[in-house]
Amino acid sequence: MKGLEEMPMRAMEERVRDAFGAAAETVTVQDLPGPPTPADRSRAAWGLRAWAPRARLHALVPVAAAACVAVIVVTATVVVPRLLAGPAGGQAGALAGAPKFFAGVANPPEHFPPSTVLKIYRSATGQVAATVRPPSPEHEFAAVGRLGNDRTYVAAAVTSFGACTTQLYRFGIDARGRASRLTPLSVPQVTGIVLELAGSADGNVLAYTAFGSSRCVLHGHDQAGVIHLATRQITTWSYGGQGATSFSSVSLTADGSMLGLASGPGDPSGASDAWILPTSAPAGPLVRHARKVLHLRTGVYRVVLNNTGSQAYVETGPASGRRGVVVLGLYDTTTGKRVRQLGRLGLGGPYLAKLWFSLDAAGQHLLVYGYPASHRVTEMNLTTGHRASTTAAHLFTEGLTAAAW
Amino acid sequence: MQVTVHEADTPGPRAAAAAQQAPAAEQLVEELYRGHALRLTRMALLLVGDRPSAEDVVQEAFLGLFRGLGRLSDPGRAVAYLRVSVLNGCRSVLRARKRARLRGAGSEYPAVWSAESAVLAGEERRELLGAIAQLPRRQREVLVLRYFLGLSDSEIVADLGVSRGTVVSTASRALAALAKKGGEQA
Repeated sequence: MKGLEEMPMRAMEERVRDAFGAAAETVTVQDLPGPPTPADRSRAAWGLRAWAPRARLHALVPVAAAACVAVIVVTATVVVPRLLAGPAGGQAGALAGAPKFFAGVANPPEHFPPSTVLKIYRSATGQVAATVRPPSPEHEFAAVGRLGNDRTYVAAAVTSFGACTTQLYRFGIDARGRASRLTPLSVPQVTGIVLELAGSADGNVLAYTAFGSSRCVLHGHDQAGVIHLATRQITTWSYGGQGATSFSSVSLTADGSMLGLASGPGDPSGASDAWILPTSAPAGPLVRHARKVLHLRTGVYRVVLNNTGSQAYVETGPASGRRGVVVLGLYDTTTGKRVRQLGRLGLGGPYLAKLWFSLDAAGQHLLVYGYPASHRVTEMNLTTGHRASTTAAHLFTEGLTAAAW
Repeated sequence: MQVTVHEADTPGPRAAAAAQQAPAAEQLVEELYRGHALRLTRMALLLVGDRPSAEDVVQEAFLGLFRGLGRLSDPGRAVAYLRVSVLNGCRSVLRARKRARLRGAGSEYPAVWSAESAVLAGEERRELLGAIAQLPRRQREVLVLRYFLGLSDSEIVADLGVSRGTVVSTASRALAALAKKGGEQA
């Protein structure tokens, strides 16, 4: 009986499979619009809707086709040669006196599920000199910063990007770029996921920015902190002003006495304020203890203090609002006035440009990397203005996300 | 549901984390897109009926993956995350259509199984798909997950957040309803 009762169900199952299969085949791989683009990603990352309504897209098909042709032509004739040549006024290879290596957090594409490793890159060529694996298979690297000279680094590792604490490790490299073993840094536990790390040139102070998900103590807020390594004392500051604010681009003076950072609403216009505060300031709201050095409507993306703290290298959005370009300028931290413009960086184009900087221990050179040309790193001599770039495809495919030299 | 996405963080840290992970995320999303977008679009088509809406739902799901990747506690579950996102997206489309119908507006695109659409061959198939479209939402979802995607009952349990018994009984009820409808029409 049971078999007889199952017959109609089995037949119906087959009919359903057949109908589903036939309907599904009306969509082919040629119909798919393609994966979200980097521009979509940028917008998505900022929580904006990136996907235009379908009806409007259909209406735009002929325009889009023409635009695609134009993009291909422009890419082939303008962008690719510029990529290969590096920035205007730049030269290939390394600058004299600049650090020979830099450390970066990489996310190799062959890792699935994704996981990060630390890589030591040769500044002149971008080639990998050494790879440092996380302290355990459960860990991922979140950030890396130089501490002291250009041969010692601190790495931040987390068990997941939803974790509530970060573990810090120290390691060094030798003259050939080979890395020593990771050694846990003897400091109290750091709350939240560390996003950026910076060490003072004297090797005594470490600064970081961190955030915690709503499950954690930070309740979705950013925090900036400094660790005095001799005393193992950690001091943290939250924003404390109106509205949600993210921190970015933490930096220290050579003696670790002053901390510089940028803050802002975290939307595509980027952070809008630059702050400076003594690392001896008491914990609490940033707005109470820090001094606002700069406020720009076009966005203050990065602030890197020079070794004395009298000036800061500041990345801002262009006044014209043009995407794909950022402006690097030197600012006086006392007056907030721009001393001089160091250059306009980026490829132009439709994508939001975001560059990250790392200052060498001597305070003489900047390492510049980021979007949209994320396969390229540029060194800049801050005294002469000379630049040198290196292009390595693996920098893009490995997803260099944080670098220190 | 086994896919765990932590509660939303503030836009600032989320954006910073996303920006930090971006090149790898792009690579991952591209690989996932190449491997799964067609199947997910077809699944969405079976649930919402028309290709443009299905494509939109899937595109939104991949963009959602960008937003959530840094907070996905187990990135190895990204495909399951996408599948659940597409299911949720389809539900939203159908809810929006229902509201539009209540206001007197018609659907923008005809269903692939409708008489207006000439893409699907076979009257019998059209009728069956039309009948499936009339089933309660959960029954439709179970049928699509089971007979199109070929998921196991335990995978459907994870995706829909219902018990295994519910999955089995829902599928049986859906097939019985279709058989009855077929019998009535015959």
